[in-house]
Amino acid sequence: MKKLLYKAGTVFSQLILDIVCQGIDAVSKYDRVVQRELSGFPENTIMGFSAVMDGKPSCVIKKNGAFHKVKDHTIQPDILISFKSLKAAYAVLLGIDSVKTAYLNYRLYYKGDLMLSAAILRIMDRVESYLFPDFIMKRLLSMKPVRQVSKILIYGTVISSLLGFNKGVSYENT
Amino acid sequence: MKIPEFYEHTTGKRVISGVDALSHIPYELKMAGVTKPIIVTDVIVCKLPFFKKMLESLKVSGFADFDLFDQIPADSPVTIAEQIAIQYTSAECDGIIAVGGGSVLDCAKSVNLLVSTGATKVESVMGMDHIPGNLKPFIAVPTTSGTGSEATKVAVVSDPIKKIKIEIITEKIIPTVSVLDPEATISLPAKVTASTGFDALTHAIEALYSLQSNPLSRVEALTAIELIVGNIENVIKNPKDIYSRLALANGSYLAGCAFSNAMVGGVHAIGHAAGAVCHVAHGDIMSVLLPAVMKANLIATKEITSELLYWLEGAEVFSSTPVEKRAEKAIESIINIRKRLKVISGLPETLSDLKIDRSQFEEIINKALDDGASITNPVSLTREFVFKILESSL
Ligand SMILES: [Fe+2]
Repeated sequence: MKKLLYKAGTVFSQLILDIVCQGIDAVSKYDRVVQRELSGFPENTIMGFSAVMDGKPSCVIKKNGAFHKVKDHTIQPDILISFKSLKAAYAVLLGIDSVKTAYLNYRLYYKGDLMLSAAILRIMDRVESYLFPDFIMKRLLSMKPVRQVSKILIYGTVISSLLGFNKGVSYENT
Repeated sequence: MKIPEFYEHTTGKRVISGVDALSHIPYELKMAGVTKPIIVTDVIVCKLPFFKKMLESLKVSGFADFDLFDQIPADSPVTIAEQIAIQYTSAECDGIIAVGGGSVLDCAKSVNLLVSTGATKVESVMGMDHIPGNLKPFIAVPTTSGTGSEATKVAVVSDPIKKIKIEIITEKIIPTVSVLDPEATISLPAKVTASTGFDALTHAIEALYSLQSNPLSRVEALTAIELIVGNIENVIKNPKDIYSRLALANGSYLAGCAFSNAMVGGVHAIGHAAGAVCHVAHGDIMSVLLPAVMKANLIATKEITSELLYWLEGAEVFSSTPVEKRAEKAIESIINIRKRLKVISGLPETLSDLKIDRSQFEEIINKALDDGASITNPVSLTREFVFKILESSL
Protein backbone atom coordinates (compact mmCIF):
# COMPACT_ATOMS: atom_id res chain seq x y z
CA MET A 1 0.00 0.00 0.00
CA LYS A 2 2.80 2.39 0.99
CA LYS A 3 4.58 1.58 -2.25
CA LEU A 4 1.42 2.38 -4.17
CA LEU A 5 1.00 5.69 -2.35
CA TYR A 6 4.62 6.58 -3.10
CA LYS A 7 4.09 5.76 -6.77
CA ALA A 8 0.91 7.86 -6.87
CA GLY A 9 2.76 10.73 -5.14
CA THR A 10 5.55 10.53 -7.72
CA VAL A 11 3.10 10.60 -10.63
CA PHE A 12 1.21 13.52 -9.07
CA SER A 13 4.33 15.61 -8.40
CA GLN A 14 5.62 14.92 -11.90
CA LEU A 15 2.29 16.21 -13.22
CA ILE A 16 2.74 19.40 -11.21
CA LEU A 17 6.29 19.69 -12.58
CA ASP A 18 4.75 19.47 -16.04
CA ILE A 19 2.61 22.49 -15.16
CA VAL A 20 5.69 24.27 -13.77
CA CYS A 21 7.43 23.67 -17.12
CA GLN A 22 4.39 25.08 -18.87
CA GLY A 23 4.77 28.07 -16.54
CA ILE A 24 8.46 28.46 -17.46
CA ASP A 25 7.41 28.36 -21.12
CA ALA A 26 4.77 31.07 -20.57
CA VAL A 27 6.91 33.36 -18.39
CA SER A 28 9.85 33.19 -20.79
CA LYS A 29 7.57 34.34 -23.62
CA TYR A 30 6.62 37.56 -21.85
CA ASP A 31 9.17 38.42 -19.17
CA ARG A 32 12.17 40.39 -20.46
CA VAL A 33 14.29 39.65 -17.37
CA VAL A 34 13.94 35.93 -18.02
CA GLN A 35 14.68 36.50 -21.69
CA ARG A 36 17.85 38.40 -20.74
CA GLU A 37 18.91 35.52 -18.48
CA LEU A 38 18.26 33.09 -21.32
CA SER A 39 20.60 34.93 -23.65
CA GLY A 40 23.48 33.24 -21.79
CA PHE A 41 22.13 29.74 -22.54
CA PRO A 42 23.36 27.85 -25.60
CA GLU A 43 20.61 27.37 -28.20
CA ASN A 44 18.71 24.06 -27.81
CA THR A 45 19.71 23.63 -24.16
CA ILE A 46 17.21 21.22 -22.60
CA MET A 47 16.47 21.68 -18.90
CA GLY A 48 14.54 18.98 -17.07
CA PHE A 49 12.95 18.59 -13.65
CA SER A 50 12.35 15.28 -11.98
CA ALA A 51 10.40 14.74 -8.74
CA VAL A 52 12.48 11.73 -7.75
CA MET A 53 15.77 10.09 -8.62
CA ASP A 54 15.72 8.30 -11.97
CA GLY A 55 12.25 9.70 -12.73
CA LYS A 56 11.16 10.73 -16.21
CA PRO A 57 11.81 14.46 -16.30
CA SER A 58 9.51 17.25 -17.46
CA CYS A 59 11.58 19.39 -19.81
CA VAL A 60 11.82 22.76 -21.51
CA ILE A 61 14.09 23.62 -24.41
CA LYS A 62 15.70 27.00 -25.09
CA LYS A 63 14.94 28.11 -28.63
CA ASN A 64 14.82 31.57 -30.20
CA GLY A 65 15.18 33.43 -26.94
CA ALA A 66 12.54 31.55 -24.91
CA PHE A 67 11.90 28.25 -23.21
CA HIS A 68 9.43 25.86 -24.82
CA LYS A 69 7.81 22.94 -23.04
CA VAL A 70 8.96 19.62 -24.50
CA LYS A 71 6.25 16.97 -24.93
CA ASP A 72 8.48 13.93 -24.56
CA HIS A 73 9.36 12.61 -21.11
CA THR A 74 11.98 10.16 -22.33
CA ILE A 75 14.72 12.53 -23.42
CA GLN A 76 17.98 13.07 -21.60
CA PRO A 77 18.14 16.78 -20.69
CA ASP A 78 21.43 18.73 -20.75
CA ILE A 79 20.60 20.03 -17.29
CA LEU A 80 18.66 17.81 -14.92
CA ILE A 81 17.37 19.10 -11.60
CA SER A 82 16.06 16.25 -9.51
CA PHE A 83 14.82 16.21 -5.93
CA LYS A 84 16.54 13.84 -3.50
CA SER A 85 13.21 12.81 -1.96
CA LEU A 86 9.53 13.09 -2.72
CA LYS A 87 9.08 15.20 0.43
CA ALA A 88 11.66 17.70 -0.87
CA ALA A 89 9.74 17.87 -4.16
CA TYR A 90 6.44 18.47 -2.35
CA ALA A 91 7.98 21.26 -0.25
CA VAL A 92 8.81 23.13 -3.46
CA LEU A 93 5.64 22.29 -5.35
CA LEU A 94 3.44 23.36 -2.45
CA GLY A 95 5.30 26.63 -2.03
CA ILE A 96 6.86 25.74 1.34
CA ASP A 97 10.39 26.09 -0.08
CA SER A 98 11.59 27.97 -3.15
CA VAL A 99 13.75 26.15 -5.71
CA LYS A 100 16.63 28.29 -4.43
CA THR A 101 16.05 27.16 -0.83
CA ALA A 102 15.93 23.51 -1.96
CA TYR A 103 19.23 24.11 -3.79
CA LEU A 104 20.83 25.82 -0.77
CA ASN A 105 19.65 23.04 1.55
CA TYR A 106 21.11 20.36 -0.74
CA ARG A 107 17.63 18.86 -1.21
CA LEU A 108 18.11 18.41 -4.93
CA TYR A 109 20.85 17.25 -7.21
CA TYR A 110 21.93 18.80 -10.44
CA LYS A 111 23.41 17.19 -13.55
CA GLY A 112 24.95 19.42 -16.20
CA ASP A 113 26.68 22.78 -16.49
CA LEU A 114 26.82 24.38 -13.03
CA MET A 115 27.90 27.67 -14.61
CA LEU A 116 24.24 28.14 -15.57
CA SER A 117 22.95 27.43 -12.05
CA ALA A 118 22.88 31.06 -10.83
CA ALA A 119 20.82 32.12 -13.86
CA ILE A 120 18.49 29.11 -13.49
CA LEU A 121 17.79 29.95 -9.84
CA ARG A 122 17.00 33.57 -10.76
CA ILE A 123 14.69 32.38 -13.56
CA MET A 124 12.91 30.03 -11.14
CA ASP A 125 12.50 32.90 -8.62
CA ARG A 126 10.70 34.85 -11.33
CA VAL A 127 8.62 31.90 -12.52
CA GLU A 128 7.53 31.25 -8.92
CA SER A 129 6.56 34.91 -8.54
CA TYR A 130 4.06 34.46 -11.39
CA LEU A 131 2.78 31.02 -10.44
CA PHE A 132 2.34 31.34 -6.67
CA PRO A 133 -0.02 33.68 -4.81
CA ASP A 134 1.58 36.81 -3.35
CA PHE A 135 1.35 35.71 0.30
CA ILE A 136 3.48 32.65 -0.54
CA MET A 137 5.91 34.74 -2.56
CA LYS A 138 6.52 37.14 0.31
CA ARG A 139 7.71 34.20 2.39
CA LEU A 140 9.70 32.49 -0.38
CA LEU A 141 11.75 35.32 -1.82
CA SER A 142 14.09 37.61 0.01
CA MET A 143 13.42 40.31 -2.57
CA LYS A 144 10.01 41.04 -4.06
CA PRO A 145 10.39 40.69 -7.82
CA VAL A 146 8.75 43.26 -10.06
CA ARG A 147 6.47 41.37 -12.46
CA GLN A 148 6.47 42.68 -16.01
CA VAL A 149 3.15 41.23 -17.12
CA SER A 150 0.03 40.30 -15.20
CA LYS A 151 -0.26 36.92 -13.53
CA ILE A 152 -3.59 36.46 -15.34
CA LEU A 153 -1.81 36.50 -18.68
CA ILE A 154 0.58 33.79 -17.46
CA TYR A 155 -2.23 31.70 -15.94
CA GLY A 156 -4.20 32.11 -19.18
CA THR A 157 -1.26 30.95 -21.28
CA VAL A 158 -0.60 27.96 -19.00
CA ILE A 159 -4.29 26.95 -18.97
CA SER A 160 -4.65 27.25 -22.73
CA SER A 161 -1.57 25.05 -23.11
CA LEU A 162 -3.01 22.49 -20.71
CA LEU A 163 -6.25 22.52 -22.67
CA GLY A 164 -4.27 21.58 -25.71
CA PHE A 165 -4.00 24.89 -27.57
CA ASN A 166 -0.23 24.80 -27.17
CA LYS A 167 0.99 21.23 -26.97
CA GLY A 168 4.67 22.05 -26.63
CA VAL A 169 7.41 21.03 -29.02
CA SER A 170 8.40 17.46 -29.60
CA TYR A 171 12.06 16.67 -29.24
CA GLU A 172 12.26 15.47 -32.87
CA ASN A 173 11.19 18.93 -34.05
CA THR A 174 13.99 20.63 -32.19
CA MET B 1 23.65 30.63 15.74
CA LYS B 2 20.41 29.44 14.20
CA ILE B 3 20.44 25.81 13.02
CA PRO B 4 19.53 25.68 9.33
CA GLU B 5 16.20 24.02 8.58
CA PHE B 6 18.09 21.38 6.62
CA TYR B 7 21.73 20.84 5.75
CA GLU B 8 24.28 18.30 4.58
CA HIS B 9 27.91 18.22 5.61
CA THR B 10 30.80 16.07 4.42
CA THR B 11 34.39 16.34 5.59
CA GLY B 12 37.56 14.75 4.26
CA LYS B 13 38.06 11.12 5.07
CA ARG B 14 41.57 11.21 6.50
CA VAL B 15 44.28 13.79 7.26
CA ILE B 16 47.94 13.10 7.95
CA SER B 17 49.48 16.26 9.33
CA GLY B 18 53.04 16.81 10.53
CA VAL B 19 56.73 16.64 9.81
CA ASP B 20 57.50 13.67 7.54
CA ALA B 21 53.81 13.04 6.89
CA LEU B 22 54.89 12.31 3.30
CA SER B 23 56.77 9.24 4.51
CA HIS B 24 53.40 7.67 5.46
CA ILE B 25 52.16 7.58 1.87
CA PRO B 26 53.33 3.99 1.17
CA TYR B 27 51.45 2.82 4.30
CA GLU B 28 48.32 4.69 3.18
CA LEU B 29 48.55 3.13 -0.28
CA LYS B 30 48.83 -0.35 1.22
CA MET B 31 45.86 0.26 3.51
CA ALA B 32 43.80 1.46 0.53
CA GLY B 33 44.72 -1.65 -1.44
CA VAL B 34 46.64 0.27 -4.08
CA THR B 35 49.44 -1.56 -5.87
CA LYS B 36 50.24 0.79 -8.74
CA PRO B 37 49.49 4.49 -8.24
CA ILE B 38 49.72 7.20 -10.84
CA ILE B 39 51.43 10.32 -9.53
CA VAL B 40 50.27 13.58 -11.08
CA THR B 41 52.01 16.90 -10.64
CA ASP B 42 53.42 19.91 -12.51
CA VAL B 43 56.82 20.79 -13.95
CA ILE B 44 57.84 22.94 -10.99
CA VAL B 45 56.86 20.58 -8.17
CA CYS B 46 58.52 17.57 -9.77
CA LYS B 47 61.92 19.29 -9.41
CA LEU B 48 61.54 20.04 -5.70
CA PRO B 49 63.61 18.02 -3.18
CA PHE B 50 60.59 16.84 -1.16
CA PHE B 51 59.01 15.37 -4.31
CA LYS B 52 62.17 13.45 -5.20
CA LYS B 53 62.32 12.20 -1.60
CA MET B 54 58.69 11.07 -1.85
CA LEU B 55 59.42 9.11 -5.02
CA GLU B 56 62.40 7.46 -3.31
CA SER B 57 60.27 6.39 -0.38
CA LEU B 58 57.72 4.88 -2.78
CA LYS B 59 60.44 2.99 -4.65
CA VAL B 60 61.90 1.42 -1.51
CA SER B 61 58.46 0.52 -0.11
CA GLY B 62 57.27 -1.73 -2.89
CA PHE B 63 55.72 0.90 -5.18
CA ALA B 64 58.59 1.26 -7.68
CA ASP B 65 56.18 0.47 -10.49
CA PHE B 66 54.29 3.77 -10.17
CA ASP B 67 53.28 5.80 -13.20
CA LEU B 68 54.03 9.54 -13.47
CA PHE B 69 52.45 12.52 -15.24
CA ASP B 70 54.34 15.74 -14.42
CA GLN B 71 53.03 18.22 -16.96
CA ILE B 72 49.76 19.56 -15.53
CA PRO B 73 49.47 23.22 -16.56
CA ALA B 74 47.62 26.02 -14.72
CA ASP B 75 43.80 26.01 -14.92
CA SER B 76 43.69 22.19 -15.28
CA PRO B 77 42.46 21.81 -18.86
CA VAL B 78 40.00 18.95 -19.44
CA THR B 79 42.12 17.70 -22.31
CA ILE B 80 44.97 16.97 -19.88
CA ALA B 81 42.62 15.23 -17.42
CA GLU B 82 41.27 13.09 -20.26
CA GLN B 83 44.82 12.30 -21.42
CA ILE B 84 45.88 11.27 -17.88
CA ALA B 85 42.77 9.06 -17.58
CA ILE B 86 43.84 7.19 -20.73
CA GLN B 87 47.39 6.82 -19.35
CA TYR B 88 45.97 5.55 -16.02
CA THR B 89 43.86 2.91 -17.71
CA SER B 90 46.50 1.69 -20.14
CA ALA B 91 49.12 1.48 -17.37
CA GLU B 92 46.59 -0.43 -15.23
CA CYS B 93 46.93 1.91 -12.27
CA ASP B 94 44.63 1.51 -9.27
CA GLY B 95 45.02 4.75 -7.32
CA ILE B 96 46.02 8.41 -7.66
CA ILE B 97 48.53 10.58 -5.83
CA ALA B 98 48.25 14.29 -6.69
CA VAL B 99 51.02 16.64 -5.60
CA GLY B 100 50.60 20.34 -6.28
CA GLY B 101 48.42 23.41 -5.97
CA GLY B 102 44.73 23.78 -6.79
CA SER B 103 45.16 23.18 -10.52
CA VAL B 104 46.88 19.83 -10.02
CA LEU B 105 44.46 18.64 -7.33
CA ASP B 106 41.36 19.68 -9.31
CA CYS B 107 42.74 17.99 -12.42
CA ALA B 108 43.36 14.80 -10.39
CA LYS B 109 39.76 14.93 -9.10
CA SER B 110 38.48 14.95 -12.69
CA VAL B 111 40.84 12.10 -13.59
CA ASN B 112 39.43 10.10 -10.68
CA LEU B 113 35.89 10.75 -11.88
CA LEU B 114 36.79 9.61 -15.39
CA VAL B 115 38.64 6.44 -14.43
CA SER B 116 36.06 5.47 -11.78
CA THR B 117 32.91 6.07 -13.81
CA GLY B 118 34.28 4.99 -17.18
CA ALA B 119 33.39 8.36 -18.72
CA THR B 120 35.77 9.64 -21.38
CA LYS B 121 34.82 13.35 -21.31
CA VAL B 122 34.89 15.57 -18.22
CA GLU B 123 31.90 17.45 -19.67
CA SER B 124 29.77 14.34 -19.17
CA VAL B 125 30.32 14.30 -15.40
CA MET B 126 29.47 17.97 -14.71
CA GLY B 127 26.98 18.67 -11.93
CA MET B 128 26.28 18.62 -8.20
CA ASP B 129 25.70 15.60 -5.91
CA HIS B 130 25.04 13.41 -8.94
CA ILE B 131 27.73 10.72 -9.02
CA PRO B 132 26.76 7.26 -7.74
CA GLY B 133 29.21 4.63 -6.48
CA ASN B 134 32.73 4.97 -5.13
CA LEU B 135 35.83 6.43 -6.70
CA LYS B 136 39.43 5.16 -6.71
CA PRO B 137 41.75 5.77 -3.74
CA PHE B 138 43.10 9.32 -4.03
CA ILE B 139 45.93 10.85 -1.98
CA ALA B 140 46.33 14.63 -2.15
CA VAL B 141 49.50 16.49 -1.19
CA PRO B 142 48.91 20.26 -1.36
CA THR B 143 51.97 22.38 -2.10
CA THR B 144 50.27 25.70 -1.37
CA SER B 145 48.22 26.69 1.67
CA GLY B 146 45.34 28.32 -0.11
CA THR B 147 42.89 26.60 -2.42
CA GLY B 148 41.87 23.99 0.16
CA SER B 149 41.24 21.63 -2.75
CA GLU B 150 42.74 18.81 -0.63
CA ALA B 151 39.59 19.08 1.54
CA THR B 152 36.85 20.03 -0.88
CA LYS B 153 34.16 18.33 -2.91
CA VAL B 154 34.66 20.97 -5.61
CA ALA B 155 36.74 20.74 -8.79
CA VAL B 156 37.00 23.51 -11.35
CA VAL B 157 38.65 22.66 -14.65
CA SER B 158 38.81 24.56 -17.90
CA ASP B 159 37.80 23.71 -21.43
CA PRO B 160 40.38 25.59 -23.52
CA ILE B 161 38.51 24.92 -26.77
CA LYS B 162 35.09 26.16 -25.68
CA LYS B 163 36.80 28.72 -23.39
CA ILE B 164 34.59 27.82 -20.45
CA LYS B 165 35.06 26.62 -16.88
CA ILE B 166 33.56 23.32 -15.85
CA GLU B 167 32.53 22.91 -12.23
CA ILE B 168 31.90 19.63 -10.45
CA ILE B 169 30.57 19.41 -6.91
CA THR B 170 30.34 15.98 -5.34
CA GLU B 171 31.59 14.56 -2.05
CA LYS B 172 32.88 11.58 -4.03
CA ILE B 173 35.91 13.58 -5.21
CA ILE B 174 37.13 14.52 -1.74
CA PRO B 175 40.60 12.97 -1.41
CA THR B 176 40.73 9.70 0.52
CA VAL B 177 43.83 10.97 2.33
CA SER B 178 45.18 14.53 2.56
CA VAL B 179 48.83 14.80 3.48
CA LEU B 180 49.80 18.08 5.16
CA ASP B 181 53.59 18.06 5.35
CA PRO B 182 55.34 21.41 5.97
CA GLU B 183 58.15 20.35 3.66
CA ALA B 184 55.73 20.47 0.71
CA THR B 185 55.11 24.21 1.16
CA ILE B 186 58.49 25.32 2.48
CA SER B 187 59.88 26.62 -0.81
CA LEU B 188 56.80 28.74 -1.57
CA PRO B 189 57.86 32.38 -2.18
CA ALA B 190 56.63 35.06 0.26
CA LYS B 191 54.26 36.74 -2.21
CA VAL B 192 52.61 33.42 -3.19
CA THR B 193 52.34 32.41 0.48
CA ALA B 194 50.58 35.70 1.28
CA SER B 195 48.30 35.57 -1.74
CA THR B 196 47.24 31.93 -1.31
CA GLY B 197 46.95 32.41 2.45
CA PHE B 198 44.58 35.32 1.90
CA ASP B 199 42.55 33.08 -0.40
CA ALA B 200 42.25 30.55 2.44
CA LEU B 201 41.23 33.33 4.85
CA THR B 202 38.57 34.43 2.35
CA HIS B 203 37.25 30.85 2.10
CA ALA B 204 36.83 30.71 5.86
CA ILE B 205 35.18 34.14 6.19
CA GLU B 206 32.82 33.66 3.26
CA ALA B 207 31.87 30.16 4.49
CA LEU B 208 31.22 31.59 7.95
CA TYR B 209 28.37 33.81 6.81
CA SER B 210 27.30 32.03 3.61
CA LEU B 211 23.64 31.13 3.12
CA GLN B 212 24.75 27.48 3.30
CA SER B 213 26.68 27.87 6.53
CA ASN B 214 25.90 25.17 9.14
CA PRO B 215 27.07 24.43 12.70
CA LEU B 216 29.89 22.17 11.54
CA SER B 217 31.21 24.42 8.78
CA ARG B 218 31.16 27.28 11.28
CA VAL B 219 33.49 25.47 13.68
CA GLU B 220 35.82 24.64 10.80
CA ALA B 221 35.77 28.23 9.53
CA LEU B 222 36.50 29.82 12.91
CA THR B 223 39.40 27.44 13.66
CA ALA B 224 40.73 28.07 10.16
CA ILE B 225 40.63 31.85 10.72
CA GLU B 226 42.49 31.51 14.02
CA LEU B 227 45.21 29.36 12.43
CA ILE B 228 45.62 31.48 9.30
CA VAL B 229 45.63 34.88 11.01
CA GLY B 230 47.89 33.61 13.79
CA ASN B 231 50.55 32.26 11.44
CA ILE B 232 50.52 33.91 8.03
CA GLU B 233 52.81 36.82 8.90
CA ASN B 234 55.28 34.61 10.73
CA VAL B 235 55.50 32.23 7.76
CA ILE B 236 56.41 35.14 5.50
CA LYS B 237 58.97 36.56 7.90
CA ASN B 238 60.38 33.11 8.74
CA PRO B 239 59.71 30.92 5.70
CA LYS B 240 61.51 27.93 7.23
CA ASP B 241 59.40 27.95 10.38
CA ILE B 242 58.00 24.43 10.20
CA TYR B 243 55.41 24.95 12.91
CA SER B 244 53.84 28.02 11.26
CA ARG B 245 53.90 26.34 7.83
CA LEU B 246 52.04 23.38 9.28
CA ALA B 247 49.54 25.61 11.09
CA LEU B 248 48.86 27.50 7.85
CA ALA B 249 48.40 24.22 5.96
CA ASN B 250 45.91 23.08 8.61
CA GLY B 251 44.12 26.46 8.43
CA SER B 252 43.84 26.14 4.67
CA TYR B 253 42.57 22.55 4.98
CA LEU B 254 39.92 23.55 7.52
CA ALA B 255 38.86 26.55 5.44
CA GLY B 256 38.50 24.06 2.57
CA CYS B 257 36.29 21.81 4.73
CA ALA B 258 34.15 24.82 5.67
CA PHE B 259 33.63 26.17 2.16
CA SER B 260 33.27 22.72 0.63
CA ASN B 261 29.95 22.56 2.50
CA ALA B 262 28.92 26.18 3.05
CA MET B 263 30.34 27.39 -0.27
CA VAL B 264 31.75 30.91 -0.73
CA GLY B 265 30.13 34.21 -1.72
CA GLY B 266 30.53 37.65 -3.23
CA VAL B 267 34.32 37.92 -2.96
CA HIS B 268 34.66 34.77 -5.03
CA ALA B 269 31.87 35.66 -7.46
CA ILE B 270 33.47 39.02 -8.26
CA GLY B 271 36.97 37.59 -7.92
CA HIS B 272 36.33 34.79 -10.42
CA ALA B 273 34.91 37.36 -12.83
CA ALA B 274 37.85 39.74 -12.40
CA GLY B 275 40.23 36.80 -12.81
CA ALA B 276 38.62 35.82 -16.10
CA VAL B 277 38.49 39.38 -17.46
CA CYS B 278 41.81 40.77 -16.17
CA HIS B 279 43.90 37.61 -15.66
CA VAL B 280 44.96 38.40 -12.10
CA ALA B 281 46.07 35.86 -9.49
CA HIS B 282 43.11 34.46 -7.55
CA GLY B 283 44.55 35.20 -4.08
CA ASP B 284 45.50 38.75 -5.11
CA ILE B 285 41.96 39.66 -6.11
CA MET B 286 40.62 38.03 -2.92
CA SER B 287 42.90 40.33 -0.93
CA VAL B 288 41.62 43.40 -2.78
CA LEU B 289 37.91 42.57 -2.52
CA LEU B 290 37.46 40.90 0.88
CA PRO B 291 37.06 43.99 3.12
CA ALA B 292 34.75 45.77 0.64
CA VAL B 293 32.45 42.75 0.31
CA MET B 294 32.44 42.23 4.09
CA LYS B 295 31.35 45.88 4.48
CA ALA B 296 28.63 45.56 1.85
CA ASN B 297 27.36 42.33 3.47
CA LEU B 298 27.15 43.85 6.97
CA ILE B 299 23.44 44.51 6.51
CA ALA B 300 22.95 40.73 6.81
CA THR B 301 26.04 39.66 8.73
CA LYS B 302 26.53 42.17 11.56
CA GLU B 303 26.22 39.60 14.34
CA ILE B 304 28.60 36.98 12.96
CA THR B 305 31.10 39.64 11.81
CA SER B 306 31.06 41.04 15.36
CA GLU B 307 31.90 37.57 16.70
CA LEU B 308 34.69 37.31 14.16
CA LEU B 309 36.58 40.03 16.03
CA TYR B 310 37.28 37.56 18.84
CA TRP B 311 39.01 35.17 16.44
CA LEU B 312 40.91 37.92 14.67
CA GLU B 313 42.13 40.00 17.61
CA GLY B 314 41.65 37.87 20.72
CA ALA B 315 39.64 38.19 23.93
CA GLU B 316 41.11 41.48 25.15
CA VAL B 317 40.35 43.56 22.06
CA PHE B 318 36.96 41.84 21.69
CA SER B 319 35.83 42.63 25.23
CA SER B 320 37.14 46.20 25.21
CA THR B 321 35.29 47.02 21.95
CA PRO B 322 31.68 48.20 22.33
CA VAL B 323 29.25 45.63 20.93
CA GLU B 324 27.99 47.92 18.14
CA LYS B 325 31.57 48.63 16.95
CA ARG B 326 32.83 45.02 16.83
CA ALA B 327 31.81 44.22 13.25
CA GLU B 328 33.50 47.35 11.84
CA LYS B 329 36.54 46.65 14.00
CA ALA B 330 36.74 43.09 12.60
CA ILE B 331 36.82 44.46 9.04
CA GLU B 332 39.43 47.02 10.13
CA SER B 333 41.48 44.13 11.50
CA ILE B 334 41.39 42.37 8.09
CA ILE B 335 42.47 45.62 6.42
CA ASN B 336 45.38 45.92 8.87
CA ILE B 337 46.50 42.32 8.25
CA ARG B 338 46.45 43.07 4.52
CA LYS B 339 48.43 46.27 5.06
CA ARG B 340 51.12 44.42 7.00
CA LEU B 341 51.23 41.66 4.37
CA LYS B 342 51.68 44.29 1.67
CA VAL B 343 54.74 45.64 3.47
CA ILE B 344 56.39 42.24 3.94
CA SER B 345 55.32 40.49 0.73
CA GLY B 346 53.83 42.96 -1.76
CA LEU B 347 50.24 41.67 -1.45
CA PRO B 348 47.97 44.06 -3.42
CA GLU B 349 45.38 46.21 -1.62
CA THR B 350 43.51 47.89 -4.44
CA LEU B 351 42.23 47.20 -7.94
CA SER B 352 44.71 49.82 -9.15
CA ASP B 353 47.53 47.73 -7.66
CA LEU B 354 46.31 44.99 -10.04
CA LYS B 355 45.97 47.45 -12.95
CA ILE B 356 42.19 46.97 -13.10
CA ASP B 357 40.25 50.11 -14.02
CA ARG B 358 36.64 51.24 -14.52
CA SER B 359 36.63 50.32 -18.21
CA GLN B 360 36.61 46.64 -17.19
CA PHE B 361 33.81 46.94 -14.62
CA GLU B 362 30.91 46.21 -16.98
CA GLU B 363 32.34 42.87 -18.08
CA ILE B 364 33.31 41.94 -14.52
CA ILE B 365 29.79 42.75 -13.24
CA ASN B 366 28.11 40.64 -15.95
CA LYS B 367 30.30 37.63 -15.21
CA ALA B 368 30.04 38.03 -11.41
CA LEU B 369 26.23 37.89 -11.46
CA ASP B 370 26.35 34.55 -13.28
CA ASP B 371 29.00 33.04 -11.05
CA GLY B 372 27.81 30.15 -8.90
CA ALA B 373 29.36 31.73 -5.80
CA SER B 374 26.85 34.59 -6.06
CA ILE B 375 24.06 32.18 -5.04
CA THR B 376 25.31 31.78 -1.48
CA ASN B 377 26.26 35.38 -0.66
CA PRO B 378 24.12 36.56 2.29
CA VAL B 379 23.05 39.65 0.33
CA SER B 380 21.66 39.16 -3.19
CA LEU B 381 24.19 40.24 -5.78
CA THR B 382 22.84 42.99 -8.01
CA ARG B 383 24.60 45.18 -10.56
CA GLU B 384 24.58 48.09 -8.08
CA PHE B 385 25.95 45.91 -5.27
CA VAL B 386 28.89 44.69 -7.37
CA PHE B 387 29.55 48.15 -8.83
CA LYS B 388 29.71 49.67 -5.34
CA ILE B 389 32.24 47.06 -4.25
CA LEU B 390 34.42 47.58 -7.33
CA GLU B 391 34.29 51.38 -6.95
CA SER B 392 35.29 51.22 -3.31
CA SER B 393 38.18 48.84 -4.11
CA LEU B 394 39.79 51.04 -6.78
FE1 LIG C 1 39.37 30.89 -3.47
